[in-house]
Amino acid sequence: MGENKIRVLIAKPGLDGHDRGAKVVAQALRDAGMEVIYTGLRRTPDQIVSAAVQEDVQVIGLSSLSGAHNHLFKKVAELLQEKGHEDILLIGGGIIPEKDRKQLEDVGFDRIFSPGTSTEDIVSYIKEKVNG
Amino acid sequence: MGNQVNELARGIIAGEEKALAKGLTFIENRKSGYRELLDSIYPEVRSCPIWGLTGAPGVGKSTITNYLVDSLANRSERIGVIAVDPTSPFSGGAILGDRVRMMDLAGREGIFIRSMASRGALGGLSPAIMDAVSLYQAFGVDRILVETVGVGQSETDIVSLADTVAVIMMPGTGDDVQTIKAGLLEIGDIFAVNKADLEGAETLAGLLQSMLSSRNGDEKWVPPVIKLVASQGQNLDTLLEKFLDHQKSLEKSGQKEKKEKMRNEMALKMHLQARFQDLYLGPLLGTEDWEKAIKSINRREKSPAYWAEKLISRSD
Ligand code: B12
Ligand SMILES: Nc1nc2c(ncn2[C@@H]2O[C@H](COP(=O)(O)OP(=O)(O)OP(=O)(O)O)[C@@H](O)[C@H]2O)c(=O)[nH]1
Ligand SMILES: [Mg+2]
Repeated sequence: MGENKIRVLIAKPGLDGHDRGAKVVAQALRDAGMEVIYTGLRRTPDQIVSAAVQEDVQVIGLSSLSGAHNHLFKKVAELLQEKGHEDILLIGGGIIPEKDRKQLEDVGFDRIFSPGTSTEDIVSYIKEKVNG
Repeated sequence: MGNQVNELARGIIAGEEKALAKGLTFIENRKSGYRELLDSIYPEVRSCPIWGLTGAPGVGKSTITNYLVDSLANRSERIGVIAVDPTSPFSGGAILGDRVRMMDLAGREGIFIRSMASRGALGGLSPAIMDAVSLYQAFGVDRILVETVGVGQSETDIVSLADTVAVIMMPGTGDDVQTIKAGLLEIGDIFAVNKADLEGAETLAGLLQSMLSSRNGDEKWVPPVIKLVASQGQNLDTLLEKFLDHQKSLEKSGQKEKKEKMRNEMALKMHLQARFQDLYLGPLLGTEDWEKAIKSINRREKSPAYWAEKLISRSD
């Protein structure tokens, strides 16, 4: 009975105004049959986590191209752990150097996608992780 | 299974946010056990005013909702928001973007916002949305705001859900005689012309006013037409007042109970329809009888109407 739609929250933390990538990803996920809660620009980590909890999403995707990812992404990961939501798949993308990528994966990110990633890869990664 | 349902019900009734969030997913996905969940919370449902905002895509519904929720929360009300966006008929997916205009509400005490996809429900309202209202009312909110996309004629469902409906329009997008005719005029308790900073607002408001004056004359409530510039916060306080006025008028005239009864009837109907589908239509699909009927219809031997009658009398 019923169908389980994958619900994803896409957010851009901080002051970064580059939203093209986030929108491209949001549309690709929609086209793959997912329900995407798009929260727009300039969100605080608190707002992002609180929205994710109320929306009961299985996935949070953050996007950053301005270089502020280390602090902001980490804060989101910390808040999720604090509130006991480690079960939410946490991913990100944008301009994020290799060494930062590793660090973010150490603090709780499941995967960081770099520029040029095909959206199909993102879709299949999410589907595989969520549906097993 | 039973345990999970009990735990969800307990949490929702106790006012736990996480339980409400999980419970909403549970009923939305029609997980087995969702009926038990609804049943266990139902005695704790406390009715509260339900306000609906509807109108064409992009007219400013979320901007307005954001203001209303902010104001009401400042008066220490607990507010539940249901923001509906359309499901893509091609992929079954959806982009739920209403939070873009409501993000400052995120994380604030006493405000719960849920984005829901229409999931194929024509009028923009699915049975799951009716049930979501029940969950909110068992969780404990003082007021519920529902934002739905107005897509012409099919939008009239909102009337049976909300106590007060505000129809939002804007100038210059074909919100003219054509669209106004399409039933919107009958469903609104309040009419708002948003984006009054743009050209044509005056004309649209005038047109609305004149069309409304020919609406059923002996009503107690005369639907007001107000002009807004939501993005600048202009006149939104007036809109809030009109909502509160309408609510008082409903209480005074005894209409409130009537609305509640209508809502319950609608909910029962929607659940029955779903059950009929499960019980009768589902088992028929693809059966030998089904194929036989299709063949006969293709050959124009008998009509679909004939076979519907035939199949239903056979399926008990
Ligand atoms: C277009 C662009 C702009 C546009 C943005 C338009 C918009 N609304 O998005 C404009 C002109 C406004 C702009 C302005 C600025 N920009 Co600019 N901009 C770019 C540019 C050329 C392309 C970005 C882009 O849109 N790519 C296309 C999208 C589809 O790709 P993407 O975002 O990388 O997303 C992909 C992946 O990263 C991943 N992904 C991204 N997000 C997410 C999220 C999730 C959940 C997942 C799973 C995957 C994922 O998947 C996507 C698909 O493959 C980049 C350079 C570059 N090559 O990246 C510079 C760049 C990002 N900008 C830069 C800068 C400095 C600026 C400005 C500060 C000033 C300036 N020099 O112009 C301003 C600041 C704007 C602001 N308010 O923040 C720098 C940032 C430097 C840094 N990080 O240290 C860059 C890198 C250019 C450079 N080499 O200097 N910019
Ligand atoms: N010029 C002008 N723009 C406005 C006004 N109110 C809202 N907008 C803008 O209109 C756009 C849509 O606003 P929303 O509040 O998202 O509209 P909506 O009806 O909720 O949209 P959907 O949910 O997508 O149907 C945004 O860019 C707003 O900033 C207004 O009074 N004047
Ligand atoms: Mg909206």
